[in-house]
Amino acid sequence: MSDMDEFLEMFFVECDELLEALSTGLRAMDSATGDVETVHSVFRAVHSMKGAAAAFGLSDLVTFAHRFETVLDELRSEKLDATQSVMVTLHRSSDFLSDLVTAARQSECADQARLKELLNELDDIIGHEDVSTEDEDEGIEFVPLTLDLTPLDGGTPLNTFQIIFSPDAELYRSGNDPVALLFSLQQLGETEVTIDHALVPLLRDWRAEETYLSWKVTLITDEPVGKVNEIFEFVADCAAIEISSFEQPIQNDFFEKNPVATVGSQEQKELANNPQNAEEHKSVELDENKSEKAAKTSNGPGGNANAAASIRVSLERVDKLMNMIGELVIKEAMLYQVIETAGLTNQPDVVSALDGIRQLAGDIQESVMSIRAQPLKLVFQRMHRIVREAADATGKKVRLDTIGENTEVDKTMIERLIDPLTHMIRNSVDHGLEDAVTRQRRGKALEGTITLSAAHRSGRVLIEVSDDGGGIDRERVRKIAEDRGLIAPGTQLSSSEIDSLLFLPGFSSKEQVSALSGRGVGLDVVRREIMSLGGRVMIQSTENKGTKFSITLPLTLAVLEGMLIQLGDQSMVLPITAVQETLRPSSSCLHYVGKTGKLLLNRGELIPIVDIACTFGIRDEPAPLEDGVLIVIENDSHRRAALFVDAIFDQRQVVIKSLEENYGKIPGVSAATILGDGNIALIIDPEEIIFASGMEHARNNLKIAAYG
Amino acid sequence: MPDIQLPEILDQRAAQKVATLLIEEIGKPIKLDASAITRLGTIGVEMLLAAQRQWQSDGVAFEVCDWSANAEKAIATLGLSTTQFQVEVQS
Amino acid sequence: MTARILAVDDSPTIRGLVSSVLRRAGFEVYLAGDGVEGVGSLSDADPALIITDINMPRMDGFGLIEAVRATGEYSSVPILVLTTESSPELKARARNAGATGWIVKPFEDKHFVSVINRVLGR
Repeated sequence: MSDMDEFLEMFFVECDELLEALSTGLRAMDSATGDVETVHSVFRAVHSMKGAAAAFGLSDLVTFAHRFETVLDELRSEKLDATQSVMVTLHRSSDFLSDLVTAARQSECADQARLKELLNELDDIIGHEDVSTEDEDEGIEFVPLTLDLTPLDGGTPLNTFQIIFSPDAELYRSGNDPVALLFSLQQLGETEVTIDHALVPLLRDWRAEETYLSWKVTLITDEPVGKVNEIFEFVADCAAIEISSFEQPIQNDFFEKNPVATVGSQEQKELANNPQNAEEHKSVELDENKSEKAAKTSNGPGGNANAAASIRVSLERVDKLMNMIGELVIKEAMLYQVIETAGLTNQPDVVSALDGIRQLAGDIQESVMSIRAQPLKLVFQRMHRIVREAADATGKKVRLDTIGENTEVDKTMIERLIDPLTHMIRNSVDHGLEDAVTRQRRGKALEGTITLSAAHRSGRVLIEVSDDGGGIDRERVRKIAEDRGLIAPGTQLSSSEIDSLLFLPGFSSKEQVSALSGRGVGLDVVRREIMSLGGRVMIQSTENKGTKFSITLPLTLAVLEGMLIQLGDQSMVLPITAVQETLRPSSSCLHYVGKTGKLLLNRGELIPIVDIACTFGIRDEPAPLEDGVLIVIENDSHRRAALFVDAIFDQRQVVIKSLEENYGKIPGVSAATILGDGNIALIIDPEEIIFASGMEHARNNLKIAAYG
Repeated sequence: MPDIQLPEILDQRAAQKVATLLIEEIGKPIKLDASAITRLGTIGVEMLLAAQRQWQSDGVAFEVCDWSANAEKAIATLGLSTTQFQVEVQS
Repeated sequence: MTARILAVDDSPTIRGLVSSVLRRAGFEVYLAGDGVEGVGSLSDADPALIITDINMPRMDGFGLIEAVRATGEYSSVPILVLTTESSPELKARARNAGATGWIVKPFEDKHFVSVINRVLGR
């Protein structure tokens, strides 16, 4: 049933949103900014999940959500106070609900022990011993009563039923209609319908609200009585119904003792006999309705009520659109070249028409990018749980503050940011923050604070994870790096260079394995992940004040701001983010080492000059430096290199076309793009170029030589 | 003989409306056109029965003609026949 | 003749599921995300039957039922409540508001469609 799968997938997407609303709401309740509406929204989130889960028969999820909801209902009706201990359980339940969703998503069995434990915890809050039995009753109750009268010796014997049916006015008011009911009966077998219309008055005395008709139906069917009962399922409380079976000797006690089974609600009849009671009953219901409605309407601003209308579109379709827009941008560039070649660029109307297209293509591109954009909230929200768990595991008290969670980035990035951020947050709790004793000694608040912030900065996204811990112990970091052979003993390193050591593969400052670490993942993995997103990670640390990791990311993975350069007869693109400066080489700043080694003295530093045309095998011999331009590039760890290129054409946005799918990874190249003239240009990976250049030149030694 | 076109949906509300209309015509021969009916509720049928009874007691001609298929089906389902909705006056 | 059904639920999943089941059963389906939307789309949808959730933002299922019953044109349209609970209290409340019947989740496609057909007299 692929159809079902599709809706199941939809359900999980919906769950993600509901879980987010749930945890947001719970946090609002924590901070006492939450009001009645918050509790309502939290309740509704759990309730919606239960409802949808029930549709898919996800029983663990339903059971748990139901109990969870019961507690929330007590909070909602102010029978229960949101004490700190209650809130702890609610948070845990919210986390576990998320686990249950994950388990269901992976068709795995949920952690039954945990389920039981939390159900008990919730029960304790409710304080009702009988909740579970109540629950079961409810589960069973909806199963329609089916008496199977088929004898064991097989065959399908015919039953004959006589049904006497006289509806109350209520039956019509509820949208039921005898026409439909009688028609359904006729579907079961052969029927003979006798209508009693003796009570119908003259039109003058006729009242639409009154009922004058009743029926007697003889039904011969091979269906059991359950099927007949089922038809009257909805009207049992608003009609007198007698179903009796005859001609067919039935060994069922039900019919022997009650030759006539009367289906009808006793309560309803009692109410009818006692109008005053009925009136009272009704007015209570009305009041309830009113108060609930009042609560709902006041829910208005900020609540679900204002949720914008939206549609769900598969990412694939958006990607396709994005791709086509990429093509459009390329075609537009081609068109420009054709017009240029035809010598039409001096025609104002041609130029303005072309500008119009270009403008439009840009706008469309931006629109599609905004479709793919999603708020970082989706990632940030998860980090609360990570912090809670990390705090539990380390025994530290930690608060997570989030800033700018509405900052939007590309959807793909959202997903791929989860792991690195999780790791960084864990790292901050585990290594960044001091334990309570140390914090007290240093005169800090016992509760450590981790701040996760996001903002747009000049066309990129800046995400920062900072803690108010002890800062990086640089002596220790240096020692570890030396011990692990990552740097030569006694190497001169600036503070920021020492900090950068944390990102080196093989570096792990953990002298003891804590519950959180020991996952075999270091910050180098974080850095690699971020880089694969076209981003960079930087680290800043102040002793006793804390450490801050800064991540910058491009807004999209689909376009890149690049510098179009010429290498021999080839064009290539250099990502603008890596470019520090461009300069014409002058002999005063050029230094030579050995036969081929060339260095550029730039900002008091000697940096290797790389003739990338050689690196890529475009030419065999390095070209004379006077013939070209140098581009100084820098990587995240502030290592630099000067790239020698023949010429710089211009700076432009290029549409990234992945190469890895078709060609596999090419060293020094991250992707490709198609230029206006239809030619393909490779996009240079500056990180790898710098890395390669660093291998050739022992940079630190050169630095000493330059000053010596 | 005035013709009254019965509505597409003859439910409780519509029956009430038609009844009000018919009460104005009491005492006059009448022909109701049932060709447009797509949904005929029990209350609608009941009202037509009451009308037939009214005209019968007044001894005035009453007829429901051109029953739509849906209307005919509803009548049969309820255990009635379309012939029950006529008053013929011997003159 | 295809009957038109208006399904009101705040869960997009349930809306999708319900509409898929109903469309396959040959119904024409209109969807609304809450009671307010449901009432607002009555004249567009012109439904022969309404299926509604109970717990929804803005206007819940009870409110929707009462509102529909208060309209002239759609006052007799059958309204089925789609619910996870099946407590007598809930049924009584739904009935008081004017609900025709209820379907309890999880529902089975066949049963779901047969209940609708039954209520519609098809």
